[in-house]
Amino acid sequence: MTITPFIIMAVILFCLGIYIVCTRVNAIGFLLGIELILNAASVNFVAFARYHENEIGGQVFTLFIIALAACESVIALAIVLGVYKNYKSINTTNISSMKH
Amino acid sequence: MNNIESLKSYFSSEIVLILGLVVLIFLSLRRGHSDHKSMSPASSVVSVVTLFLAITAALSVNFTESQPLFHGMIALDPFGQFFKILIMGTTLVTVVFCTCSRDLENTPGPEFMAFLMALCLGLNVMCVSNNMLMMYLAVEMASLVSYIMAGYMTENKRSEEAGLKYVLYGGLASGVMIFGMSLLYGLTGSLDLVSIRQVVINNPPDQLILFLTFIMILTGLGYKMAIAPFHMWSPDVYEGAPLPVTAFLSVASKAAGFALTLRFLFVAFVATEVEGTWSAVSAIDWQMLVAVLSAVTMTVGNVLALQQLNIKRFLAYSSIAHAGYMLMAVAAQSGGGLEGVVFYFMVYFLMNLGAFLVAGVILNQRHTEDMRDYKGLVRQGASGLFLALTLSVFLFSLTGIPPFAGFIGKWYVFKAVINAGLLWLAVIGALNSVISLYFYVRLIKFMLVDSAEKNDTIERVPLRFASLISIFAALTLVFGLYFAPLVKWTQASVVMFR
Repeated sequence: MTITPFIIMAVILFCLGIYIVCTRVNAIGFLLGIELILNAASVNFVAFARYHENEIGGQVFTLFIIALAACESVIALAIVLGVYKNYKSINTTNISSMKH
Repeated sequence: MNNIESLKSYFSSEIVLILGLVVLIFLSLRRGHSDHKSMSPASSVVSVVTLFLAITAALSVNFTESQPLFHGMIALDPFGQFFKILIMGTTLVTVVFCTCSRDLENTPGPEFMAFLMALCLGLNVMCVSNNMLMMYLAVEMASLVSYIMAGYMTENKRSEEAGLKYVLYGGLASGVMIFGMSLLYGLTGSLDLVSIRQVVINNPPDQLILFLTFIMILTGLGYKMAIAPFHMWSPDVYEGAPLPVTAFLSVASKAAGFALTLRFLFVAFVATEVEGTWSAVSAIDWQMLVAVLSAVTMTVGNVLALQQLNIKRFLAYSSIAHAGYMLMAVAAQSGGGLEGVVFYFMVYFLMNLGAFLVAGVILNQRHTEDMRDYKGLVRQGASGLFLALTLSVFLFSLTGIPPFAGFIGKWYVFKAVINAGLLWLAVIGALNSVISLYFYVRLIKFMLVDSAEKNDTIERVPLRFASLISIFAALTLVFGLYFAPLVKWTQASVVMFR
């Protein structure tokens, strides 16, 4: 089986992630976009690990990405909760108390 | 060398940091203790002792030659060692800074110190990682903790906003970076930077894809260094975060970002080194790219700093500009350029932390971050005179005026750039220094020339702050005139494992 379909899928996931990040105003939506980007990288790593023979680095990397994505979500959601307590909103457009 | 052996002989400072971290976590578990809601003396003492031991351990490591540890995951070399010591030194100053900071008065103390140790550990590993997996883990370890620390004042709107912006930008940047890493892995079949270089030299992959990959990875690294155009987060985060955290991020986090970027560029994408001149791999000529990034970074930092009146935001833009100067030395692609970066970081550590410490004292007493409230500081009692004069020393040094240390740092950077033949970059750098003169001197004018609106004196500066500030100001002056020891240390510190 060729590697191309996997790469195309990863690129589509990546572009969707970037699209979501660019368009969503909701902080949670933004985080979902980041998750998609991370998953695109995971797909790439696993596919490339199969493609290069005797290489397991990619699969190990994917395990770490999964674990760290969970950590990142936990921390990001905690911060979103803190923001909600202060602003009563999680829309990124409303959260700008600092002068630009 | 086997892993257990390298753990105890070369990795002891990290082990000390981990032990300190565990002790601090246990301290924070003591429920119902009266000092749970403040910086308790116990936690600061534990942190200071930990850092002191860790720095001693790092200084006493002696190795005859650079070598890879843990199957090439980590590189043991003087370059990494230098940045580790710089970062741990910054952490030590930050611990003292935290003990009397108004921003952190009503926050859980031991937990904060534990976060600081974890952050220091993450940054330490960033400086020595020689493998993309290790790079990713170290960057994430450092980033995750700094998100928490930026949003540490949970009752404060601006701090929460800083945390949110940091986590959103950071998550996106590291996502793009690992997507780039996955592509680089696909192109070269290896995660190890040394093997990546060999593949890129011997059978270069498709140039366009390699270039895209390179840019993607540089996005994540550039976010850590806070260089334009990846600097968007830094003014807001620096303004909203507690002041000690801002000081820490602007020095230690940037230093680790630079160490990681330099290692990535010089290990994976430099083909040969002939008598101190390095040449990039033929597939990617990153010299021009870095030179343009550096020109954009310093211009953005300096021009936007012109209109800032908030001291934290002002120092944020100033630190972006300084990242631009340091990047200029990276673009020189030479041993001299590396020395320039390392030397610049030493003086940047002194002058930037010094300026933040003075701002911290004034924030504690006056409850203000507005630079217009600094007017007439020099006439507000002996403490006012002390603060105004020391801050002027730091600001003159940041501008790069002789005889302060900042001048020597800039001189090294410009020398490397001109030797590399990038005259246009040197001219842009010089123009930027002139722009920066305006806003640094404006603050000095506020303090020394203008008169205050209301005339109240500054109270006595706490001894810890006073001694740190005077040491930093004295060193800024001394190293401006007698910098031979720094040069010697710099020259020893640019050896990188390749």
